[in-house]
Amino acid sequence: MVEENITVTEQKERLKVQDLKVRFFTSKGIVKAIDNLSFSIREGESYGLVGESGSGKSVTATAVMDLIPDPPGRIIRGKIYIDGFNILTDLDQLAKIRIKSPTDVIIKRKKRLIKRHNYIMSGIRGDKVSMVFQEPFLSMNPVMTIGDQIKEAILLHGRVDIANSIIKRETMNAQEVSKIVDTIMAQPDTQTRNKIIVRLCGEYAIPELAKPFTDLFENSTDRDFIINEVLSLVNTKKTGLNLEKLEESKNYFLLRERILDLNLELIGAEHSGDERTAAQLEAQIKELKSTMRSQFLLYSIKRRFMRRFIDAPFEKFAEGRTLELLTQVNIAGPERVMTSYPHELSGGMLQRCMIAMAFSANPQLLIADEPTTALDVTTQAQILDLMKEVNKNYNTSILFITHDLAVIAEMCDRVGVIYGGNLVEEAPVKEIFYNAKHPYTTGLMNAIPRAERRFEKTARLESIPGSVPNLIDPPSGCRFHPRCKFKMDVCSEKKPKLVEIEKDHKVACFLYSDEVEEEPREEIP
Amino acid sequence: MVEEVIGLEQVNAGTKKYRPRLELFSATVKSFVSNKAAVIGAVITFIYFAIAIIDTVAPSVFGIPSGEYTDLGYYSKHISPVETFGIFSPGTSHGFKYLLGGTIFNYPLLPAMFASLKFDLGYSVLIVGVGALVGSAIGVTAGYLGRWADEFMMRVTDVFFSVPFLILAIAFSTIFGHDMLSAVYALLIIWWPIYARLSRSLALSTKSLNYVEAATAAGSSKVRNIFYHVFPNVLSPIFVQISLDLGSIILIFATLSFLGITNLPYSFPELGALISDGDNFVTSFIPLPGFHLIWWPLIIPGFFLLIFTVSINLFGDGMRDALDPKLRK
Amino acid sequence: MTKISADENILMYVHGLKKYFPIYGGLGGVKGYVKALDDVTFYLREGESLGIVGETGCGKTTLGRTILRLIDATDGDVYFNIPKDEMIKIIDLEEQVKEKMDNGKTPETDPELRNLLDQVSKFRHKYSLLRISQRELRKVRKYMQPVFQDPFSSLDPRKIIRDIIGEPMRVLLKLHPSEILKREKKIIEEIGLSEDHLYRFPHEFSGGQRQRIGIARAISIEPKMLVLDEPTSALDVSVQAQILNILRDLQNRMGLSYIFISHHLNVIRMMSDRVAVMYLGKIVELASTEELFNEMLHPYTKALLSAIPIPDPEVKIQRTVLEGEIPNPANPPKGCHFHPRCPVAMPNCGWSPVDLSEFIKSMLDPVRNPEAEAITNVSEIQTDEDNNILDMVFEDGYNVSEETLQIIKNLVEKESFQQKGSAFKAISSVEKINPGNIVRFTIRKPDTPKLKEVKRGHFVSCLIYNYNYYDEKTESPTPEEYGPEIYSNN
Repeated sequence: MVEENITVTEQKERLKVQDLKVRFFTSKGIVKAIDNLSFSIREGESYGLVGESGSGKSVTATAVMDLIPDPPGRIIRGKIYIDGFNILTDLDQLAKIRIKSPTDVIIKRKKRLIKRHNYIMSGIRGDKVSMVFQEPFLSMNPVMTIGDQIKEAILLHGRVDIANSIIKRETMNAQEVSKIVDTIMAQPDTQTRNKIIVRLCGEYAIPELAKPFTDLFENSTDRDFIINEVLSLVNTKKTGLNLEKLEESKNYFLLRERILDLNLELIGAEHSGDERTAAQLEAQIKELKSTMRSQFLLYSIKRRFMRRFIDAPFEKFAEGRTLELLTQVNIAGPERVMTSYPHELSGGMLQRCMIAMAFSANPQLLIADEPTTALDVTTQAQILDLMKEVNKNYNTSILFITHDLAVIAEMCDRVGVIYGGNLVEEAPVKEIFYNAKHPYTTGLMNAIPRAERRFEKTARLESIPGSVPNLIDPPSGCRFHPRCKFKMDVCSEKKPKLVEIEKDHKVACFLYSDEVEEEPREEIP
Repeated sequence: MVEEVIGLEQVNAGTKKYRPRLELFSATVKSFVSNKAAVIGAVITFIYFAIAIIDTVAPSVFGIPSGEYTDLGYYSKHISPVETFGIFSPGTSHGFKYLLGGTIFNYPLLPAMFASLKFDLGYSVLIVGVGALVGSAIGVTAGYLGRWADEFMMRVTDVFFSVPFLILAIAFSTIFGHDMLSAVYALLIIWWPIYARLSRSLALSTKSLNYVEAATAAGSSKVRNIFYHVFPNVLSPIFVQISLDLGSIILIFATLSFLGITNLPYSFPELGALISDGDNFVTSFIPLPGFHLIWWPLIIPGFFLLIFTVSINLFGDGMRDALDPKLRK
Repeated sequence: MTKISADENILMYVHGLKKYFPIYGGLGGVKGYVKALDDVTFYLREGESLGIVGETGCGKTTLGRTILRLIDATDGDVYFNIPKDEMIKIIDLEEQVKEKMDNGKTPETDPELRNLLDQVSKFRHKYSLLRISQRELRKVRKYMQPVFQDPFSSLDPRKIIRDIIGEPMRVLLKLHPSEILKREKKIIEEIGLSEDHLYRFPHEFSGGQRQRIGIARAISIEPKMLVLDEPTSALDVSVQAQILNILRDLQNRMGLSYIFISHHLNVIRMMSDRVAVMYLGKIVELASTEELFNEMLHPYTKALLSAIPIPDPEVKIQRTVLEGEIPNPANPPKGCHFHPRCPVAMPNCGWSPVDLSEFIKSMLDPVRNPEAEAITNVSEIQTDEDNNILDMVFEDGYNVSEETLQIIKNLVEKESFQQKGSAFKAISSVEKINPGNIVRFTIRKPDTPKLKEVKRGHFVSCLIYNYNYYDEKTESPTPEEYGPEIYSNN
């Protein structure tokens, strides 16, 4: 469709949510959790979604991961583009919902599409998007060690890359080394030099050598000496494993990745109505699958029964990478942490491990759902610093969900304020804090007890009267109008549209614009 | 996640009617009545209990004068097995007594089942009642007081809990004779620890909740806390346990007489004994040629028991939901 | 503690409060204690609100519960709502006793102390909330009520609001039901709900409304003091503001005193007149709100304050990010509990052999110190906590030469100027002992800081402000020496 082309603009959008609508069908009625929510996150941007409990911010996060529990939840409508691919393409086609009464809802789905959707999502989750949850204790497996859990996450994706780098390491020779040393030595600046060294060490599956190498390049300028030293160090790391077998594994995973990619293409083609390409792609997939079945029959049997031997080089690589990840998130004594179980660690430590796990596949988008709410202030400061660092170093986009405006001020570039399942305001963080427009946002701002403000005994905090609406039976029109100071007649009748009133500053309020949001008639109430 | 979204129910002032205290009770009743399965369960349970009571107060209502069982027991010893096969099948016109046919020695099945309720229900209510009372009193006290009281009471409970029931029942039956009473004694001793454990764990979790602390701060004594705050919150799971147990105790009686540990005379009106007798017919006599299948002495009392167990469980579930204001609606 | 002037109205005086939770081993044996409260002393004036702030596990919730005697204290006294002159006398006596005890005197040797103790114990048994009988306690409970954090578990789910709010009136005041109903109607309107809410169950209300009901229950008998245990941390910001406003109005109208427990520093700042900062069961700093937030003295308070995110994107603060996390309260560090995380720890702050064994291991790492390559055959490091000794044991039969010993001494010297150098400064001697393969480090005895009045009304428990301290041997700086440098960048 048209949107597919729009997503590739000058500033790449990592995540784009369009007209998202989520409902929960419960025995008490239909919960209108999210209504026509649209926002987007650019590359390297940290986007904050702020709202009170029950406003739908966590639902949004789980919707982006497509982890909404079904039943009772369901994404009714909308598009979620992750790196330009709409993950809901398949779901869109199968949302056939018939409502007999608010408590009696029949949902029909096509099994084939559901199956394909789940298959694709398992390829996207963890690889392109990762999530950090609020309760680290609840989101870790209590009977597996931290190390094993992170290793598992690493090995789920990118096996081809792992195999490639192991092969590179094993086949490294003097010629290659001298070439690399030359390029590194050509860099005048130590910082860029170190960066290159770290990157190359990762590429050659020798992350543990990064430190000695940087020292080496710092202390010596003798080219031949460096080359010899590097060669000898690398040779100690070579394991001399059977490269043919590794090659076989690599090809197997390469094929699997190819099939996944073709499936993504197929979905795109099917959705845009290009039947010829779709048929071609389908045939291609079929062919590849049959090749896989015939060519890798023996391999898959071996993999099933002798997994330990076949996966040994991968496991070893994953172990090194786990140590590296744990060191990156500033954990003291990573070796000890690797072998310990979740209950042996404190909340802050576990949250670091969660972040390490989320970064195992270097995702481009990280969803952080109240990652510091369960932690103490001093630990929260540590975790926020870590996340900022990660955001800067890897150019990762972050969707940061929280109820704490102070954390938003510290962490985010752009902020969306969500109320009753609707986005009511969206602006850069400074605009939100100094030039808030929506009455709800200003109310929230004034309700924070601030450190810098002096309070006399009789002074009062400004508060918003009432409480968050019940989303089974939300207020008509603007969902905020029963609590609003500036309520007008139109507010209870029509729903305001999110309109850009200044540059980058969008507000959904009749005080600023008369535009009304159209409700498609055939939709679910 | 759903809880997060719908858990925030807002009460708008004036939308609901003023509710005086009496209406609270009717709300409970209303909630119970709205649960159809529970109502059916309650009705059937009520019928069973009514039969048992009528049969105790006026045995002749169902057409069997008291004392007839023992006569039959005596009769059985002097009759040859062959004569026992001339028994009526259900539906044949032999009057109300034989509406469901006859069982061993052509003893009328329907009155036998009715009469058996008197023993079965009476004893199981006794056992469960005593067990629930003693057990929950001990459990709640132990859980609320904690420390040494808890330690002591629960170790005692453990001792009783660890006694194997069947062995105790056999021992009792050798001491007190092979009748129902010895099984009842054994069950009385065995049954209360379940309630003690259940109510202790419930009391433990309730005790640490803030509202009990708030009551303490409001000057409420330990005894008052137990009765006013802890006990009501422990009650509903105990209700469910009671309803489950009433059914299973009857099953245990049936098992015991089936195994011959309570060696009741033939056609003693006890459901287990009736089923056990019926089982003899089905298992021993089907293969013989010339005999038609005599199924009713086994199937009918079996269903009679099954219906009771199911309906009392439904009743118990409904009671729990109705008593818990959170589940009500 | 300071001398209390005679014209001050002290509502409550908490003295030496201790609560140790036993950790049970198998078969009823006690393995150790979690010191949730360790010698907590403070007072509360009438109409004042005292904020208590700290991180998880610092004992702030236990403090609230112990004061209300919802749990029994291990030791200590709480004097509440007693005649003014008696209160002043008690405070004076308790202070005297404490001072004498601190100076190492015992009742057996010091007749004066014995005399004082006799006087004090009379008061203790008459007034201390933790010692009086349940019956007398009930009379006092009229004047102190709690409000809890969790609005969901603090109301009995099986009682209607009328029963919940009326409970204190029924039990403590034994009022007539019609009188109770009359008061209930008044109170429920005061807190912003309406009369027909009285006949509903708690689950029909939102979190903020439930918290209002909790407050209504607490104020229904017109107490003098409320213990507010994180009353708003479970609520949303907009609702939090409502609750804080209600609490503030009530205080102004009824002259209530508050013990306001929270981990949220900004809420504390707004709500309290004085603030106590707690860390691992002890008060580390206590001062008026204005003083504390402008001139905080304890390193922990500084770190805690700098960790609060500021709701303003333009303000970027220089953070003191603390290393590590709160230690296990069952096994707290020696000396000052904060010293392992303290950015300005001194040699006498409590470095123990166990702390040092980690540092010495890293000292011997040749990557860190190339000189350490000469020391290769260390087989283990033994610690003796009781005698403050750490032994570096070499392999059997190895005789430590003078040069090796000198290298080790040099390393210690070198490390003492690095990060965490104060730990190495705590080593008072390094010597070789028989049979020749052991190098013994003797570590100076740690000092335990006491809550001292550094300025008028500003109490700090930190050795930096212990002006008597000056150690010539280790040449540890006095506060004047490096105070300005460290404490200027607030």
